[in-house]
Amino acid sequence: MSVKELIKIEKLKKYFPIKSGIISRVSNYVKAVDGIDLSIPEGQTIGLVGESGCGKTTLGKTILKLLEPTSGEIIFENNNITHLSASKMRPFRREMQIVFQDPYGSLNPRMKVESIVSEGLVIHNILSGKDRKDFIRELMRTVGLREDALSRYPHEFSGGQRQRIAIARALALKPKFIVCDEPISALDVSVQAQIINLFIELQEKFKLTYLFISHDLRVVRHISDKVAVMYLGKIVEISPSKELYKNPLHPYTQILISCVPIADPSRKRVKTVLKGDVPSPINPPFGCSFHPRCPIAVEKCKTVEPELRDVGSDHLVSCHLV
Amino acid sequence: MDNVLEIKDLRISFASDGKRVEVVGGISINVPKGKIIGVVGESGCGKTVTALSVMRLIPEPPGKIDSGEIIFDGADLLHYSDRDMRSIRGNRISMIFQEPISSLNPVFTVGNQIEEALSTHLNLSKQERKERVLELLTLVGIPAPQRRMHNYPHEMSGGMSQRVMIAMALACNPEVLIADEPTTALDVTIQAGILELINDLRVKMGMAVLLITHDLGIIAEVADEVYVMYAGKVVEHGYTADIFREPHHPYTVGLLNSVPGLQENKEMLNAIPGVVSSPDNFPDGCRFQDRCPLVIDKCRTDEPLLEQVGNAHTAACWRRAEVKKIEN
Amino acid sequence: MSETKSVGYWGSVWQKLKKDKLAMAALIIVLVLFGVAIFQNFLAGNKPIILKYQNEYYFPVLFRYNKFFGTDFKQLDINSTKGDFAIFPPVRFSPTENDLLSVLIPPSKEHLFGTDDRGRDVLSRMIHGARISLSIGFVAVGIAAIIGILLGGIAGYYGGSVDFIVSRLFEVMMTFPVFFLILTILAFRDPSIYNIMIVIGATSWTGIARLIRAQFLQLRQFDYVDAAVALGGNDWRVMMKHMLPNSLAPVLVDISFGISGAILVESGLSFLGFGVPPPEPSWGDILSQSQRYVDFAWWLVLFPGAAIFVTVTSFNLLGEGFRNAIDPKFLGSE
Repeated sequence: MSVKELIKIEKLKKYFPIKSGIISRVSNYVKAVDGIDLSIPEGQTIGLVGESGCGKTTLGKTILKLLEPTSGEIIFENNNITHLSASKMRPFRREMQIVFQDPYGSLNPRMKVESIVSEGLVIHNILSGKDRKDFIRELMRTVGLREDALSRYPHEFSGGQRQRIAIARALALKPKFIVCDEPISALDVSVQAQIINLFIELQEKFKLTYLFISHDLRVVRHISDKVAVMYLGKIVEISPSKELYKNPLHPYTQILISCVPIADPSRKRVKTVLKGDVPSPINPPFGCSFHPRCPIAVEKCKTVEPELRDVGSDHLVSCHLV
Repeated sequence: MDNVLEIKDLRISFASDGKRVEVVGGISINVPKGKIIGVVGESGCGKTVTALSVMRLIPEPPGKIDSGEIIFDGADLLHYSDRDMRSIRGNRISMIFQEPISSLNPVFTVGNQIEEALSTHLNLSKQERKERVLELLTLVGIPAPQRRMHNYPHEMSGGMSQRVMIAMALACNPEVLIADEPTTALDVTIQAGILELINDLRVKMGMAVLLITHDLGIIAEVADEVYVMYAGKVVEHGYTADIFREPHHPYTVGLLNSVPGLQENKEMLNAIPGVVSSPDNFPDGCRFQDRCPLVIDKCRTDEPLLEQVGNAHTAACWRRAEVKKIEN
Repeated sequence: MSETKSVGYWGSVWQKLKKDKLAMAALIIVLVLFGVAIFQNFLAGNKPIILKYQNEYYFPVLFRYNKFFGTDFKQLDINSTKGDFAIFPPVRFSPTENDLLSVLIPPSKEHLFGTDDRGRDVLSRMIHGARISLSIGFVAVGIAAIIGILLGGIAGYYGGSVDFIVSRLFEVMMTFPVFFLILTILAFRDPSIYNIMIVIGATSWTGIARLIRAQFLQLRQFDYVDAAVALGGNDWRVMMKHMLPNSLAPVLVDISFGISGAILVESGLSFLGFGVPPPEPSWGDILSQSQRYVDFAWWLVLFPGAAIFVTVTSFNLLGEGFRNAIDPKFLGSE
């Protein structure tokens, strides 16, 4: 059974110019997203993991056109949305939404919850009067909030509740696709579990497609069908979730997985400590961008950039030595 | 086992909107020499306030240590004068914090800052101090220390800055290191290095570590003993292996279930429902009652105290014998 | 989630403000001034509030009657018909009523604040001057605020080259010595009350503009701004519904100070003879007259001077109290 491809990303790049000098000439670029190919099938969760500076948040925002792509193509349900103007983009915005990391900065403190959640409906002129009110109330129930929350302000809620409000806001437009940008990192562990459950439940109920961005491999592995590992603006490995954790092939992925602390003291593992510092995305190393820190790098790695190759069972790796 | 630090029945309250609100409700923690003691809990449990109180860093007002003792080297730190405390801080008891970048002074080089830690407490010549700085930087695993000591904090990565903080904290060979969420702000690959470093140094220097975190994974990896805190109380305490294998408090079980582990992909987790009540609103009886799957009437009226459930293993729950770890 | 009543941002600001005794006193004074300005004709004037004449009721303060065109109500014979009466405002003089027989009289029972060099009752002129001073303050600052918010908002929202150009405009504007600019412009135009308001407004917007620009630049980083774009909101919506409400608080502080500033400027202009033209009574005008008679007509100096002082101080205290009330709630998030 072939699953429909909801989003296709081809050679996507997002560079941020660095200006210097008196006349603000562009001297260099921060290569946050440096050539990404990604296919997101409908109804699935693609997990995106990586450490700080790898560009995963930039990728999420660029797919949603919250940042203008520098080059490459974004194709949503066979529509190329890369170069659409703001007004042409508007109908597509109903289909793709985002939940942010910071529950304290993602809700306008001056707006009542009701206004926050129904803003999408207001912008696109969907439903009105009693129908709209009923819809919003139902939405609040769906995300696990009380109805009387609607007349309150964001600051009266805890972090977890605010994320629920943010999720309700995203769901109001009945989107097909939601970018979840580290949505639980700022929450307490017990609340994280609640929100993870909510995401799983909502996906089942509304047939949602997620791009789940996180630095927490435990969570990503649990919630994703497929996981992509990012390093310095590129995807270095991508494979079905179980397969990745059982059989990581890229040296970076292997180290990453070995470093994740497991809540089981009986499992003493050998951790490979990653040497060196994270290089800056302004001047990524030549060849394979991981080679300066790679324990198995050879001459070829310093000069030739590896490509993502399929090594079987839907598992792609970008490494010369695999 | 000799305890180098003993917190006894500590109670701390804060003034909020004209009322006094208790944030730490009578906790006792023993830190044996040379061991890593983990304190795990979520927001509002009082773990950070407890750590700060050992160093007497709680601003008073609005905070106030209402009662209890903190015994260090035979004396109660809570009765120390400001001057005496200053000779303890950074010298015999040191602390490292969550955000290394904001804990380091941006206008001084890291070398200068480590030197300051030395000159405040030790009487060394300038040459001796410089040598000690290099020694410390090497000890914490910073490559090219001669060059690095002239760096400013903003020139270093998060992991490096944290190592510098550790160097500063260890400069005077403290007997106790308090680490408050030392790796929360760091990438997981860097975190592994820092934890390994703390462990190594603990062994090398015979120092005890009070490690405060919300991450059970970190506890499992490095802590010898665990104190589980909830809403200002210690709800369970024991050796790490025992706590993870046989938890006896429903909150501990809930925490363990909240971390995705090896269960089936996309399966619902056994999450703890609800949220922790705020300190001005704690219920009578057990503070976990509204979220507990095993709650009975007694929990709503009588507060359970820590009782023995195993070898050096205590839990504060009326139904502690029935609590079982639910395999996720 | 607290069980207390939900107060919005402004609700909590008001609660904080209420605790500031000085600011509350200032607020009361300002409200009294407003009352005086609105009800000026009920407080001072030579037309009765209620008149029963020849068995008919009239309200000369509110309506103009052809029948009474040009009538001096004080001379009206109300004793001819039984039941007739007239209720006059407490101060029975209009601000423009000349009485050359009562020139420069010190405060007395008849004229509580004395009279000026044309026999006009000073108290009446003071009361009517309130509306003028307040109008100038509010309208001028209103104009400044609109210009400042628009320009500052555009600069802060779009950033880049737009910001560059608009910021240079701010800088040019700020280099002008505003008071002299106002004088120059007024020299070329008729000095009417409207021109004064417009000129003051059009030259004092830079403070607000810079504030708004700074706030917008900061607010751009907040996720809720991105969320609004993701929902499909256009630039105008993001600026007006999301960024502006979160930027207004410090601007209101500036507005309060701006009002007192505008009143001072107007007084200064009047004092120099460039202000509101006669016979409209402005406080600065009365003060200006007093120059000639300052050695004995102390009432011409004290009352307008005190009024200006109290008004300006009140708005300043209100602004100060407001600034304290909004302090920790400065930015978009807590």
